[in-house]
Amino acid sequence: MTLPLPDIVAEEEELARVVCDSSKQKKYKNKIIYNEDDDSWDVQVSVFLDGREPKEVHSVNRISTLNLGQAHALGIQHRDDHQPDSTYHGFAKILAAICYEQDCAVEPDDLDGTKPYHANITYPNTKLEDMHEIATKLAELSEFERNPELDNPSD
Amino acid sequence: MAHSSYNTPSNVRQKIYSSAYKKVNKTSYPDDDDRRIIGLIEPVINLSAANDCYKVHTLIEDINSILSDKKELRKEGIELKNKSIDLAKNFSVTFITDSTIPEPTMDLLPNGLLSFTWRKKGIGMINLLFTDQGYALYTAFFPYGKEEITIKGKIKDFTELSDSFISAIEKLNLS
Repeated sequence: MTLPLPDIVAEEEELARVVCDSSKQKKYKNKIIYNEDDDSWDVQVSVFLDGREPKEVHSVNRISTLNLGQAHALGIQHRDDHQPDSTYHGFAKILAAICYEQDCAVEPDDLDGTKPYHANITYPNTKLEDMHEIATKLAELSEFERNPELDNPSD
Repeated sequence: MAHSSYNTPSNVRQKIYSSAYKKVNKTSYPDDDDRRIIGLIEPVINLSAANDCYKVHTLIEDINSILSDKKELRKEGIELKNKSIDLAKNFSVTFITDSTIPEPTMDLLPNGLLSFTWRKKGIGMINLLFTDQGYALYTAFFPYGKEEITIKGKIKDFTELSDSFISAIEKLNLS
């Protein structure tokens, strides 16, 4: 049985922003960049900018109580619900504290009980300058967890 | 002089220097000569001009491919902002071809705007977002020093980029 998560998202909670993109490989569509030097990944700024309205609200999953497989399962579910034709690459993991430092709100939103781990990061305003700055910081300070079912990039 | 609504104060620049330098040597701050020796402010000189042209050509080709995919992108819910794409193209021609800055990674945003990113592992990143209003927004973010440093602003005229943007790129020592 799943215990309900607290109504307040704690600073030390880890949040997962799902990264999907088109199955068709285009350079400008890459949401993640592989670093050969240290075998790591960076996420693009656009991962933290949403195309859907309202633009200041960004869906994440609260994953501190989950193992990696469970966290990826939530990502795959998100892909199936919203971008069924896309490739699920993984998720960008960010501490709630970093969001709070940018004056963002982080609020649970279980979508009428259907998604108990779901939450929203809400940017403080919709000014392009401010959203751009926050998205840049979140992209740089997040850590990417790749879908283990995808091929090794160095293969 | 390029327009910038957010001038970077000299003390912030010094912090950027210091922050980058601390990654190399935590004992003291360098003078200008030392900075050059360790490669923190020396622009990267590409030896092959032909290679430069090839790289830029690829970048512009990539930008053109976005435009040719316009209909496909619309089906995916992305409405391209033509001015943003044109601005990125102009930027590529007026800046990248004439400088030593390496090729950025391109990132098409869900709102149809195009951005370029330069990153240096362990130092920070710069993102340049081309708006639909004829200017670009930049955020240079250096999170790994003793304190986080962000500089941001607008660039309207790419033929004379703002000092802060150029110096921020130099600090990243992207090569």
